[in-house]
Order: sequence, then C-alpha cells, then structure tokens
Amino acid sequence: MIYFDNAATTYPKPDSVIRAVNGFIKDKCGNPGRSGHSLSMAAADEVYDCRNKAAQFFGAADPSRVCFCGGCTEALNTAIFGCISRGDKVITSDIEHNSVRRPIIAAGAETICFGSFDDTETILTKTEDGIKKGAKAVVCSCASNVFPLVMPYREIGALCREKGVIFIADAAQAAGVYDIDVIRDNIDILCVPAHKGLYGITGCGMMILSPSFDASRLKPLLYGGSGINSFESDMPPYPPERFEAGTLPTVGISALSAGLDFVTQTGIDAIRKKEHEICALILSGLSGCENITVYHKNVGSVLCFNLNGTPSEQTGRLLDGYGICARAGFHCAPGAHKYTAPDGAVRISFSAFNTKNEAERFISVIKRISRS
Amino acid sequence: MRYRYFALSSLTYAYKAQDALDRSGIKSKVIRLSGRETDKGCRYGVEVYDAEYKYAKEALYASGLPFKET
Repeated sequence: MIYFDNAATTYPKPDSVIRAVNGFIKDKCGNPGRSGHSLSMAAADEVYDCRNKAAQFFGAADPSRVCFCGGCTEALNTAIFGCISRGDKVITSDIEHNSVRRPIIAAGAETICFGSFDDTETILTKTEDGIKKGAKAVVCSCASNVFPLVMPYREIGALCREKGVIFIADAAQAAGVYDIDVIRDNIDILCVPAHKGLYGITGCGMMILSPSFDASRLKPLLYGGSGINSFESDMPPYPPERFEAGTLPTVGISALSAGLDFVTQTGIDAIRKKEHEICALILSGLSGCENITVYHKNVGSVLCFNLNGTPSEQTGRLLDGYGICARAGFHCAPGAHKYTAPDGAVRISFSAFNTKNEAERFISVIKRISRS
Repeated sequence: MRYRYFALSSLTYAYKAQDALDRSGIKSKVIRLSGRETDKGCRYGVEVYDAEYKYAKEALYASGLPFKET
C-alpha cells in the first residue's frame, strides 16, 4: 500500500509511538490529576513531560501554557468561542477548513476574508484594512490542507502584535513540518493536532497559549472536573487546568510525547525536505500529462489534482484499486474548492515515511489511469 | 526522615515547582495534598526533606511561583 493521505492523519506511526502507547496502557494508565497513588502520578509525570516537550517545540517556554484537548478542532473551538462574541469582526482566509470557518460563523462573528493566493503584501494590506474596521482577531491556518500553500503567518502575527489584535493560528497541517514559535511568530493561540505531522494518534490535540497572552481573556469551552479547587463553582483561573475539564486523553498524550521526540530527532527541516522532494518528483512526472489538472503547482506537503472529466471520488476509488490511499472530495474546506472543480479534487499528501519509489509508482499508476 | 510540604495552585504548578527545586539542587516529590473546603478542595504540592525546607522556600520564592506553606 502507498499511503498518500497524511494530511488526514499520518500513517504509519513511528515504532517509538506504538511502543509508547503500549507501554503507557500497560504500566501508566491511571487518571492524572485525580489521585495521589502511584499509577495516577505515573500518568501525571507523562503528561507533564509532554507539556514540557510541546512548550519547547513550539517556543511557548512555559509548560503551563500547553493545554491538552481532544484534537485541533476542539482547540480551535476553545480559542474561537473563548474570545469571539456575536457581532465581533474576525479576519480569516478564503480557503479555511471548517474547523476554523464553522466556529467563527457559529460564534456570530462577521467575517472579513483575505485571498489566500494573494501575495504577502496584499494579504497584509487586507488584514490591516480589516483591523481598521475593528476586527478583534485574525484566525487562519499556517498551511492549507488542500494546496501546497503556506500562509504568511509570521508577518500576520507581527501585524496583529503591532495592532493589538488576537492571532489564532491553526497549525493542523503545519505542525511538525514548518518551524512555528509562538513567541517569535507572535501567535497568541496555536491550535495543534497530535495525529498529523507530530505522528501521535487521534483523539488528542493542544491549544498552546503564548506567554504574553492573557488567558483570562479566554472563556473555557468545557466545564467539569479539574482535580483541584473542587469547591469552586468556576474552572480554575489559570491554564492549563482552566481549559482541561474532564479526564485528559492520556494515551494520546503518551503517543504525542513520543511523536514529538521522533520529529525532533528526525528534524523538521529534514521531514519537510523529504516531503517536498516527493512532491517535486510527482509534479515533474505529471507535467507532461495532458489529461491531468494540477491545482497550484507549487512544491509542498500536499498536492491537489483532477483527472480531466473524471469525478474526484472516482479517481480516488481507482487509485485505491492500485493500493494508493488518496483523499478525494472537498477536504472540509469548501472555500478552497472554489479554485478546483465542482465536485472537488483529489489530494495526495506526504509524510516522513514516504519514498521516491512510491512517488514513481504513483506517477506510473496515474498515467495509466488517465489514459484509460 | 521528616518531610514538609508546599501547596501549589495546580498539579501543573506543582510540577513547575519541582522543576524549580531541581534547578536549585533540591530533591522533591509531587504529591496530592489533603484538601479542606477552606482551601477550595483538592490540591497538589511538593514534598521536601525537612532539612531542605528553608532552601526550598527560598528557591520557590525566587521562581515566582505562587505557593503556600502547609
């Protein structure tokens, strides 16, 4: 099997992640922050260790700024509902995933969009215009889940910091592939999945608060047990416990911890280079094919295309018949598909485990399919 | 060997206190403390050797972490 659906979730997982999950379930699977016995504290040790690694990885400096949750979508919902109210103005891009788009709409905010394919200067001008109109926050992805397109998130962050506007960054596709530092990049709230570029498992994510962001500006999304201050009616006032109601996804955290080690040891630059080499090889291989439309022919960690005249889902099924896993359709990003075709497109996406041989096999298969 | 305790505002802050004590060369252990309604309920803290209590207190003050002596 050739797995080219890593933007949905990376596969395979590193052996170290599998060992960490097995080891945690076998030896440490208590409930952290609920008891003082050895199994609960063993789980708590693991959780704190992962907080430290994540804080270091994303430049947050302080482990208490790393809030664990059920995934990137939950992190984005916590961030958006936590600081956006009905009638607020929010700046975002025109190709956002529904995990950004829908919470903004549900919060009752007025959206001001910039064009993702515009150059950085135009994006910044539009963002500044939105800020002048009273926008409270900018919420956007660092990298698209559909196209090989990286947003100018550092420049947007610098502008937000200068203007005193909240910057919420969705790192669903960027974490583990692009260098992100919440302090350097002026990101107030960074939302991260564990199971994509950090090679953890599903059901776990992080909302990482910059040390300079006043956490009291953010209302919790979930209320419940926190293991402390049980007689208080409200959640604790400080992160991370303020945003961690209920039992933590400890197995996912143990996997994330090992995943962070894997990415750190392999190196973000090396991972990105490998993914981009595979992408470049495929782009080159497809360049002479008349029957194929590639959207936004850049080198990146994802690539989006269609076989002309063939619905994307049908192409996906044909590829599956050759043992190639790709994702067709709209990728939960309806705005992005204004730039593709009425029935969406096929996305292939890469990880540290893909090889050039797989890329060559993919080119050979897609050429064969496109001729038939 | 006798132990003394510092209460921290959360489990995470108890671990941060342990880190701060580690940096000062003071051995400590994160533990769950008995809570009372007046303390707002369940809480966590760090346990240190009685002989190192004074130095631990100084290290925690220096760290800037809010703590209570118990």
